[in-house]
Amino acid sequence: VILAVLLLVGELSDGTQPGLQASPRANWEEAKLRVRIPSQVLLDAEVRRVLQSGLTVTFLFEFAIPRARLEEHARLEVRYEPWDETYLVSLLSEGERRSETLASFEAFVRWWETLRWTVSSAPPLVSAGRAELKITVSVVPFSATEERDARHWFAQSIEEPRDLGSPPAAGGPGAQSTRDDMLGALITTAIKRRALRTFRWTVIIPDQERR
Amino acid sequence: VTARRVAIALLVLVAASLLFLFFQKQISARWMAVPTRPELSAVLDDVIEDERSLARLEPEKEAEHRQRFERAQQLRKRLEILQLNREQVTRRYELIVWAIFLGVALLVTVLYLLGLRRDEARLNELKVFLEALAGGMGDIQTGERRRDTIGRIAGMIEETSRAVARDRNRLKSLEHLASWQEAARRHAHEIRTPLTAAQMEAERLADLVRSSGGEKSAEFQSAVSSILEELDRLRRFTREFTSFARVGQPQFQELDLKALVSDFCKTFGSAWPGMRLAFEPPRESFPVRADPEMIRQVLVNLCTNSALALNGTPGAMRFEIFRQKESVHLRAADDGPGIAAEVLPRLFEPYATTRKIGEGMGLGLAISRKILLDHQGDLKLEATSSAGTAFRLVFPIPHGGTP
Repeated sequence: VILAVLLLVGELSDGTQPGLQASPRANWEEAKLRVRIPSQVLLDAEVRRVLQSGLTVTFLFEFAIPRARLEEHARLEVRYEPWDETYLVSLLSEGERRSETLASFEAFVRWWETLRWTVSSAPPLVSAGRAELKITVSVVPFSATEERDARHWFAQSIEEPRDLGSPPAAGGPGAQSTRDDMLGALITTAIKRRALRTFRWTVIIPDQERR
Repeated sequence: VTARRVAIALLVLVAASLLFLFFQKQISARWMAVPTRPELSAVLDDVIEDERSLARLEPEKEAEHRQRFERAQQLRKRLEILQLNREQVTRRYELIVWAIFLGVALLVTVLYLLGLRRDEARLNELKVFLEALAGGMGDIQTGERRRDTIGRIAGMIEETSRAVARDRNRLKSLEHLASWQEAARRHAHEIRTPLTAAQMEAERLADLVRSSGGEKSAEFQSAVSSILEELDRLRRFTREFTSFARVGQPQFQELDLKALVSDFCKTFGSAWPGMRLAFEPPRESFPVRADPEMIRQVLVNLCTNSALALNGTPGAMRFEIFRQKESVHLRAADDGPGIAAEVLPRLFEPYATTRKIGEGMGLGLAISRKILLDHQGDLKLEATSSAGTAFRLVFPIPHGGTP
């Protein structure tokens, strides 16, 4: 029974976070700790749906080595262009911005797999010994510009329709507009960028000397 | 306001708020389902795909198809964002409506509690008036003008105090009249005995003078006749005393005042030369509990007074019946010269008259008022001026006597 329960829990957790199945790999390359994030992140049903919606999806990467008090951030913006059926990617890492146009989702996945995220140079880790690297990838489904646009559209959609021929509402058109603005602002600010999915891993940093 | 009432009000507020929240959740989640229906996105996906395909098939219209494509794509993205924030938007909407409900409910609760506090203060004020009423105070004015329950209680206190004052005045008047009646009875008794003896002696003297036939017989007879006339006048006055002293208790019966006044006008229509009795009977009847003989006596007294005041000049006595609050009123108004101002303060007291000595003792109004007081009603002077005088006979409406 215990085994069955464990298997069931395993199945459920696999369904909710498929990214956990494949773990990132950390390696020392040219005296730099580099990490490869598995492309299963992109295959998550929710992530894949928003990737194909045409919204600008932002992947926020956070690499932390608590023992060395080290924290690095990077971001990747992806927007699917349905007219051309291409993926426009924009990568901001190590202070550099790189943009690419990828011909298909498969091409994007392949491109993703080539990415090596630089976490740190060796010196701060020398004395760290066997340290843990904590990786967090948050998937934000739309950009700030799209958020503003959606709020504006939603505010207009829920406004009380006004007929130019009808008499002004009680309190005058100014009061009506203020009330609409206030209620619109209150409701539409509920539309907010927040992570759709968050993947977390903890990997052991391999010993540099052994390499 | 007691802490218990505040606690109950707050409990009701919380319960109403939770119930509102529960039912609101059932509704608000549904309207958000409309714009986020998957079929909308599916249709938009088809449109997007179609426009792209059409652009390939009609390269000359590519810009047009691209424009439509962009529009559909933008809407698709917006709907997607809405779908992603569906729960948050629904929650925010619920929160806003709930906050409005809570605000209104809170305002109502505060107003309710303030109302309770005000009502407590009003009840405390009424307690003072109730104590005064219990102490026998009459004509209390509470100053309450609202028509709510407390206002109605205040009205009842005022009404009861007025009734107390009325009864006290009535009792005082009756006691006053009773003392006058007692005096009249004693005077009549004291006068009647020697008067009877004196009359008998005077009649015997007249017989003796007639039988002796002396030379001064005619002169003696004239003197004796004069004595007998004076004694007769004294007897009439004594009779008037007696009638005042003997005003008895009314023999009540259910009667229609309208019929009584109509009969009176027919019977006594020509009783006072030069004075006409006028009465236009109303359609409705006016049932009262009264002694018809006594009421007729009151009307006779009033008519007699009016006729004497008219002093031979033609005039009229007009009767009118109407209902006012819990009483039936009979107005008797003449067009005589009015009542002298000096008599007004003691108009209903015995012996209040402006007539010359020998023309009446001024007992008519006192007797009439006593009769009406004995009927639980009253006789009031409504108005008097050089254009005439109006009296009002007030009868209480018997229980269940309203038409």
